[in-house]
Amino acid sequence: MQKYVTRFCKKISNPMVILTIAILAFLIYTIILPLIEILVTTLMDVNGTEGFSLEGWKSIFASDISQALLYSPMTQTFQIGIFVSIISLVLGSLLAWIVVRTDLKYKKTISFFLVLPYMLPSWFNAFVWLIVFKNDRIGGQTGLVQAIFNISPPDWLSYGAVPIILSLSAHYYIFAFLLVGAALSSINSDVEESATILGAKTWGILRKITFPLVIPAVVSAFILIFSKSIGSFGVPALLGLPVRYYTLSTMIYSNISTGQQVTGYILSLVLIVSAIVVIWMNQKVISRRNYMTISGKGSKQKLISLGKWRIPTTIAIWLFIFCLSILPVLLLGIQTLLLRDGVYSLDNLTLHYWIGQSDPTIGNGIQGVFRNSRILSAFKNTVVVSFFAALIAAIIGLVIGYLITRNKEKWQFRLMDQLSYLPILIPSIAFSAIYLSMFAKPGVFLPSLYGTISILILITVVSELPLTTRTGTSSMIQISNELEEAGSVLGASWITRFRRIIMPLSKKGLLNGFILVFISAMKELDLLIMLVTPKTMTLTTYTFDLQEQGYTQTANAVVLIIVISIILVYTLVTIFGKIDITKGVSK
Amino acid sequence: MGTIVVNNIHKYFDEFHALKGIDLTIEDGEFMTLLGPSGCGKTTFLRILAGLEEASDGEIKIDGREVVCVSNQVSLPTSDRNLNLVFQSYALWPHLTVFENIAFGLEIKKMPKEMIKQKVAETLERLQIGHLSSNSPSELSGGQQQRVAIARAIVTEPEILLLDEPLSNLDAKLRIEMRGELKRLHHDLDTTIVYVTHDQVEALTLSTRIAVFFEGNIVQVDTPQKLYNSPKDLRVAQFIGNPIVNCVEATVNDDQMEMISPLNTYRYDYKIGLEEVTLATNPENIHIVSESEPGAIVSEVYSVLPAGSETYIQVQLQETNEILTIREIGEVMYEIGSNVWIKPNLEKMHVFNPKTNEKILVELDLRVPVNV
Repeated sequence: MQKYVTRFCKKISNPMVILTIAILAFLIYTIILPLIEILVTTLMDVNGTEGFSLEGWKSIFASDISQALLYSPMTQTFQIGIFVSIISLVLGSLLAWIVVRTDLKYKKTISFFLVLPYMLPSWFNAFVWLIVFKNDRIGGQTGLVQAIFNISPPDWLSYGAVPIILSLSAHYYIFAFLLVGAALSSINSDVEESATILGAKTWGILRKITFPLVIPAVVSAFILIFSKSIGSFGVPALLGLPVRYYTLSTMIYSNISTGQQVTGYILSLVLIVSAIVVIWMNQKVISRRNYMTISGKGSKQKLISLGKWRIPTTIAIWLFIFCLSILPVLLLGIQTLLLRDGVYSLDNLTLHYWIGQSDPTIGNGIQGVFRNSRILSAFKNTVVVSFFAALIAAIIGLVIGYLITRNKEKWQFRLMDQLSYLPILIPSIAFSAIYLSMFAKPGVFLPSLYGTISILILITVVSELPLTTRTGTSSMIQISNELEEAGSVLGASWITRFRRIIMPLSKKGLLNGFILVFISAMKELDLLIMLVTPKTMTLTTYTFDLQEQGYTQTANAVVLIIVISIILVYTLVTIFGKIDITKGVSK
Repeated sequence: MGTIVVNNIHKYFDEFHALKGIDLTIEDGEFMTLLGPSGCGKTTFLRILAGLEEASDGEIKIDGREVVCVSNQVSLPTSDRNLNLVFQSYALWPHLTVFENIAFGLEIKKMPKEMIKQKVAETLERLQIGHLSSNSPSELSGGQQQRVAIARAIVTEPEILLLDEPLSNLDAKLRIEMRGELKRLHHDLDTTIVYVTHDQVEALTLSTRIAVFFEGNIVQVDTPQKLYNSPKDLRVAQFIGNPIVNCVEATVNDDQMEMISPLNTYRYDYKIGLEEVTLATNPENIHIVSESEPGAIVSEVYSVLPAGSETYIQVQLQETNEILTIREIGEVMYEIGSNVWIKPNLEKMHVFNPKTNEKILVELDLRVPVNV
């Protein structure tokens, strides 16, 4: 007995053990518990019944309203997912091949601009789409097309499936670009050259060797894009809700914001299960096709000469960049200067929406953004949330990465690894629905967090854990265990080793994780939209509010502020931090 | 002081029995080398000695003090064992300068700043890297990094210095240079050194004694000379042999006290009790002789490998096509394909049991029958 007590005490005093217990507790409390809670909510005391009942599920899966509540949004969600995936894949892979394998000039700059849209919120494209193609169907001012050509764009072009698919594709092609690009650049020319020696022609090599080698990357990009787009909320909300075109995510939002919690939760579970199925399929496919194309030698690649195609290709790519990265920002900027929306003439230009005093004759008397105290507070909230979420997520990610790499075999750490990956399976809107239910009332250890900044930070931290755990793990793998052992041989305690050896060596990984989360948190809408209150409004959620209430110019001005802040951070980091953000994007 | 007594150390990695009862006594001031092929358990043993790995069973005492005793749940932390370790990868901290790397251990011991400076400077001088003090490890060559790693290990003046294949990452020339310096360092410091390597030349040149590991067991502990001249185990003979030991199978006939080998038929004095034995001898114990000598056999020159001061001649035996290696001093030329006469030195011929790898210890007094 004595023996076990001393053993137990010895274990407890080991900081590694304490840390492991703390992290596991944190993960279970913030990820597993909410999932259980939401499941219980849908099964207990539903619709006035008492105790366990399947009423809630029945009313959604098999009742008069099932079609409208579940089946039609679900069909539309999957439609969007499939089309977005196909368009993104074709576009992204083609761009990746051109940038990686041909002798195109200014590749670095081109890559920078091609990845830029990813740094912006995914619903940014939806805002721009509305500026250009908005028609008069739902009232308010019309868009650029109507102003210039004086024809009203048809409904299918202004709202619904087509613009949603195009907006999402313009954002998610970057996954395909990065993943396929990485696969292409890891293929050693040797394998292609040996085919050349055997007499194969460029096209034949592409078809028989290059393409099969990048298939795993293509498949994993497909799955990633698909699962991301079925979970996305911002774009279908902006382009679908006004015409009652619902996806699962917007349906969840509508239900929860109108007090239909149980319906919203059940739909969330449906969305989570869909995402899990898709990602599980991914694992199945990928693990069977894992080619070792990466060798330590650093692959040398022979570039394919574009020849007479160089000029047309260059023009096409720059045009693409202009349309997707530069023009939208310009349009958005101009739009905020229009006194009356949709009137494109010089005497209609004004800075009112930026610096104007409240004027009851313009936009219901809303103040210019620089005078608007709510925007200032939203900006402050955004920075606070992004900064602390990034800091905490990066540190937790690093610690988890440390624990996992140092104790690969033990089950606790495999569990930790998998738990930290779980949030990626939960679509943001469903995740925030869960947190809404869990933290609306005082919890087991915590007071009610709803309405505080802390819950925004907490949910951002947890949802970013899959990413920071990966960056943390990859930077820990590079720090050999011997570096730490060399310290312990000299008598350095665990704390000393972590502080003086591990931390300094993983500075770069830590910074990398921090920046990634910071940018991602700045543009986050889906995750926060249901958890903010007027006091904790962030820039993104405030923008959404403004747009819903019809303050288009002001909303666009705020979007522009977000976009410029992100571009600024992204540029500074790329130039000065020597951090390649694109490496962490494909979480 | 730095006496290590190791008693019956076992180590299991899940099902795998990595160390199968290691017993070893290392005297104060010794240069003990743990030699063996990769995967034989020598590094695991070193790490258990250092306290970086827990033993599954057994005891270790350093200077009479119990350091590891599994049955009593004793396992002193590394830093309380008064030893230090030089890692195979050097494990220099890339974010610290050479000075900071070496000073780390002294800072942990809360030594006054002035004294740290002085000690580090002394150690740097001793290893002739004083000028590199403010460099970062990534700016150093492999040999310089090696010196920094050793400096970091000896600056805290440990009783015992453990080295884990420290020279394996260096090129051939540097390795020979460092060998000399390590031996000199051992002489100057007077500490006990435990050295892990799979390079038999390194072991032979450096050590006062060598412990040969095979499959988790120590097979023989001896001085380099004894190990080379009278290996107790066929695997030891094969591992130590430089560049290779010549082995041939012989059929034993205890009735007539005769064994038939591809080399020759030999008579012996005591019954062996086996049907087959393995004869082994080093390349310098076979000589190329003129035709007339008794006991010599004819073979064909397979290949000639001059190595500067010596020449290795490979010959192919006529009956079995086996290839033997012969070492001759100086540069000698034989035509490939020509026939030569070879004769082993029977006094230095070892006889092993091929089933157990053990040496047959009785004095057999091998000799060529007179009538042949």
